[in-house]
Amino acid sequence: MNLLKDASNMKTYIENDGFHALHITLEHTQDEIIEEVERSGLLGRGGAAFPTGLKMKFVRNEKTTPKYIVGNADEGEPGTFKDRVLIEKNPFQILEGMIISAYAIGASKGFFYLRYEYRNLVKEIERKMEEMREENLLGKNIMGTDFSFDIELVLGAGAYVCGEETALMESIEGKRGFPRIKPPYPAQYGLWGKPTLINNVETLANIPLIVNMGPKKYAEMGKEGCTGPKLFSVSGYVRKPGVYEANLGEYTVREMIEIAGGVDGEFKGLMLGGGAAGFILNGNFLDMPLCFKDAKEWGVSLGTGNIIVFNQSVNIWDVLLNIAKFFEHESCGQCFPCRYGTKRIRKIIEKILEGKGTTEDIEKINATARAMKIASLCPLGSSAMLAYESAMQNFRDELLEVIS
Amino acid sequence: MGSMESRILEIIEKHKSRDSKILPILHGVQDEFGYIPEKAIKLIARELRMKPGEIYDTASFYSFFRFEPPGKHIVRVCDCMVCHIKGASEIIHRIEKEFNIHMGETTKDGKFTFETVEGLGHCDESPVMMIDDKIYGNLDPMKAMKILRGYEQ
Repeated sequence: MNLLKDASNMKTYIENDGFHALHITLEHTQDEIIEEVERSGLLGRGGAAFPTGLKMKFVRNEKTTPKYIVGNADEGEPGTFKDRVLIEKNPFQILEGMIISAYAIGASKGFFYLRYEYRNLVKEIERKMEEMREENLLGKNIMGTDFSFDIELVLGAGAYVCGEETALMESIEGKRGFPRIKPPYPAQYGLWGKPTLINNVETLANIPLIVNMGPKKYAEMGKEGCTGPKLFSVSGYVRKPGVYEANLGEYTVREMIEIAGGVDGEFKGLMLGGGAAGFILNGNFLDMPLCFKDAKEWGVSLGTGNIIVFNQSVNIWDVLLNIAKFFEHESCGQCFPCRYGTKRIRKIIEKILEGKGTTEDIEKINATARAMKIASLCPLGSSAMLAYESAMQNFRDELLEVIS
Repeated sequence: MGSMESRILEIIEKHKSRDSKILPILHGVQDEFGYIPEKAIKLIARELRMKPGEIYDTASFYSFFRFEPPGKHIVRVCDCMVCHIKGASEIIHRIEKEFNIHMGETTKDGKFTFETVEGLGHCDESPVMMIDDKIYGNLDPMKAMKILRGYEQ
C-alpha cells in the first residue's frame, strides 16, 4: 500500500521512509519539484481530476505574496469516506505532501480544513503537527534550511458547499460559505485575495510518493491518463464495505465490488463518483476500468472514487428523492437557479413517489435541470442533476413505469 | 453572568492571533456552552472590531452552530444516501415514535436533541448515528433504541 499504510505514529512513519521526500525536496529548486509532479501525471483526487502539477505552476508563477496552501479535508460527498480513513491511518504523509507543495509554490502558511463531522480527529491532528514542530519539520527554518512554513487546522461547521474551493476559502476567512464567481481562480485570487493552492488531502498524500520514487516510476503505477494509486470508498450493498486502494486503471468496477466482498443480495445498479453529485449506473458499467480517462470515454466521471452498490431492494425514485432533499438542504442560497431549482425538483419527485407523477412533471424536471446546469454559480447547482439524468438513461423503464 | 463573559473573552483571546479566527472562536464558545449565546456574538464582534450582524451572518450559515441550548446529548442520525438505502428511515421513524418528537427537536426532559444529518462519513458501517462525539454503526431500529436507552440513565 502506498497510501493506506498504517503509519499514524511518527516513529513508524519515519521507519517507512517518512519525511525522506521532504529532505530530498529541500535540496532541489521549487521548479524542479513542480516539474516532477507534472511529469508524474498526478490528477487531483477531490473529484475534478485537474492536473496537480499545472495547478502548482499557476500559483508558483504569481508574483503576489504571501501565498497560501489549503489541504481540503471537507469530505462531504455521501458515500465518500476515504479521506477520513487516510487521515486516521497515514496523516503524516498528507502533512508531508502539504509541506513539499508549500515549498514548491513558495507558501509560508497552510490551512488544513477538516469537516465538522470528523471533529473527533482534531486533537490527534493538532498533536501530530505539534510533534512535527518539535522535530523541526514544521515551523521556522524547516530541517535547518531557510524555508519556514506552518499549518493552522480549521474545523468546518457542517456545510457541503464548503468542499467547493472558493466557498471553503470564504469559510476560512470567517465568512459564510458562499462560492465566489470564477475567474479569478484561487491561483490568482485565493485566501484573502492572495495566490492560493488548494488540494484534496489524498492528492497531497501522493506528493511524497512522487518525490521519493521519481515521476517515471510513479507513472508506471496505473496507465497513461490516470497514474498512481487511488482510494475507493465502496459502500451500500456489498459484503465488506470499506476503503480500498488500487492503482488507477488496475481494476474494473466489477472487480472492485468483488474486492469489497461482492454484492449483498441481487445486483441492481450502482452509484459512481459521489453519493449526491454522481452517476446512477446499471450493469453495463461493471466492465468499465476505474480510471479517469476510461470513465470520461464512458461518459461518466470517477469523482472522488466512490462506489455505492444497489441490490434489488433499492428503489431508484426513492434514491433520487434522498439526493434531491440533500441538494435542497445544502444549496447555499446565493444563486437563484440552485436555490429554487433544488426545491422544485424535490417537490416534483415527492409527488411522483406518491403515485401522482405525470409526463408533464418529467418535462418540468428536465427544464429545471437544464436551467440549473446553465445558470448555477457553482458546481453544486450544475451537478445536482447528474444522478437524475444518468438514472433516466440507465433505469428509464423503471422510472417511467410509475408515470401516467 | 460575569463568569460567562470572562469565559467567552478567554476563548476569544485564545484564538485571536490565528489567521482564521472566527470559526475556531465560534466552536470554542459552542463547546463551552453547548450553543452560541447572544452575549458571545456581541463580545466577539466587539473584540474583533466587527459588527454583531457580521458574526451572526457567518454563524447562522453553518448547520452545526446553534443558538438555543441543546439537550444533554445530541443525537445525529445519518440519512445520507448510503444510510438511507440501508434503512435509516426506519430508525428515524422508530425514534420519533418512541420519544414522541420530530427530528430537530429536544425531548421535554432535556435529555436528547435529535437531528438528521447528511453524511457522517462512516458509510462502511451504515446505517450510523453519532451521539455527542461517538459513532454507532450497523444499526437497526432495535439496536438504536437500546443504545439510546443506555444514555438515558
